[in-house]
Amino acid sequence: MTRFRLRQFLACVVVTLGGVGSAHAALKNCDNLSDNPGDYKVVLDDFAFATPAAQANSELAALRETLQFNFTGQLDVLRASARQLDRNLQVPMRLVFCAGRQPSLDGSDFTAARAEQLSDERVVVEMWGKLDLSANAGGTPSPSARIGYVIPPVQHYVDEDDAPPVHVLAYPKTGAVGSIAELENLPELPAFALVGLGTKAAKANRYDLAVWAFTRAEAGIADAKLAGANPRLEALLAYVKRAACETRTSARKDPSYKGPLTLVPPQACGGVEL
Amino acid sequence: MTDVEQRVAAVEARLESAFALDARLKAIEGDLRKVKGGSSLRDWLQTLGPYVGGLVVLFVGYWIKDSVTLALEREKLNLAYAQQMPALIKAFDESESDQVADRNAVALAMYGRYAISPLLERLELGGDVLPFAAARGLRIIGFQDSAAACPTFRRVINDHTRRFKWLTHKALIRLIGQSECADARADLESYRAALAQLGADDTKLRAFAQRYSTADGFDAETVAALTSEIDRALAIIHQVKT
Repeated sequence: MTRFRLRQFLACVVVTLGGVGSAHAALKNCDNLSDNPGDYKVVLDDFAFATPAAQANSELAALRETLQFNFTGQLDVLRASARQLDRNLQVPMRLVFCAGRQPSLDGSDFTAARAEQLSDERVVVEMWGKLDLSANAGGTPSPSARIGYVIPPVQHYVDEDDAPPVHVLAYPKTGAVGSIAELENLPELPAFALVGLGTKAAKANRYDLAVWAFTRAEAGIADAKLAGANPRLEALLAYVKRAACETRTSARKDPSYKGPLTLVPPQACGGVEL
Repeated sequence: MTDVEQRVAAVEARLESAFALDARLKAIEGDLRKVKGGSSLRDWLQTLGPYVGGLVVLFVGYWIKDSVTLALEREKLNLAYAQQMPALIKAFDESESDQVADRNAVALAMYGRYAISPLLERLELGGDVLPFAAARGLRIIGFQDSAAACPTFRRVINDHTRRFKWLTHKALIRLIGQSECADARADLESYRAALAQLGADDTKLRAFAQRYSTADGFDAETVAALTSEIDRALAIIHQVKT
């Protein structure tokens, strides 16, 4: 009897400790989210490491730094591109780094209420992930990652069946070729950010910005799809096309709008309602 | 007639006269009682006056002592809360996860009206974890003690002194609905009417946003978000009233 109780106690301890160990990393508050309240934000969470060996790996540590640097560059490119198209088309978008924030990899932390709060804070995309070392074809360990993206405005305003807001992608996608470049740049990030930006701009009746963002996002998502079939990306692409069309229609109907979209001939959109 | 007999006759005469006087007096008293009609309030007051005075002094003394004791107890409670709450507020601010923040917010909410101000300040923080937990704490207080919470919630949405973000206004509008603050109906309706005037006019939006701690980021989307929040709150209040 005593041995049975001891075994029961040990089982409880093991289960409890196991639960603690497997519990997903904490969703810490991102305090600097309310800085620059007028800017749209791309939120970069703290990347986690899959194993202690990965954490100790200098290449992965350097990759983490490179990612942050490259994202800032990508946003600069977006801003310049918008300015090139139209001098008046301002894209007030900035990168916000949330130290210590590590959402669960499957994105289950992003509830509807949280998506609303993030969207209200003008977050267009939030990104998190886990870096690891995987053996490549030659048997030597090389960096790999699983990166999650959530587009809060899409989650808040659009039905999930029409546009999936959470995307978890594995890198490298295409084997060893170009894997480091892919990992260092995460080409989907600007595309997802533009989808979020377009959705918010359309809601704010900033039609030119919205159509520009949707059009740019369309190209980015189409590029990302080249790596292989992904039904969630396809659904998002369909949403982006419909949303761009809907925005053009709304612009034409808005008597206060006098911009270039009034010149675009009317077209039937169908599907998602913004 | 002897002298003794004369004296007895005199005594008898006086005695008869005394009886006659007594009968007369009784007759007069009977008539007087008929005229007066029983004992008056004055008689009662005269009789009970000393006792009533004593009772009044007793009750006033008891009331004063009771209210002083209550005030002292209240001060003791305030002091206890003032000593206990900072630790909880610190724990709330340092919450490392959404679950911990929620737990701390609920613990703060147990202090009722005393926790309204600290939680309101936490609504002003950036992010999606702490303001979210603070709103949960305020929702609990609004449910438990709407008499204390509703006036504060109304003050925030009527505030034009640039103390609060538009996001705080939005959270408070939601809390007003959830706390069934029926008195806030007129405030919500006038807020809604003011928003309806704005449209997408940048100048009007900018002027309206001067009431918030920052006007940046206040646009047509914000107006739509606030308007739908007000509609939801009004629907709840209307439902409660009917």
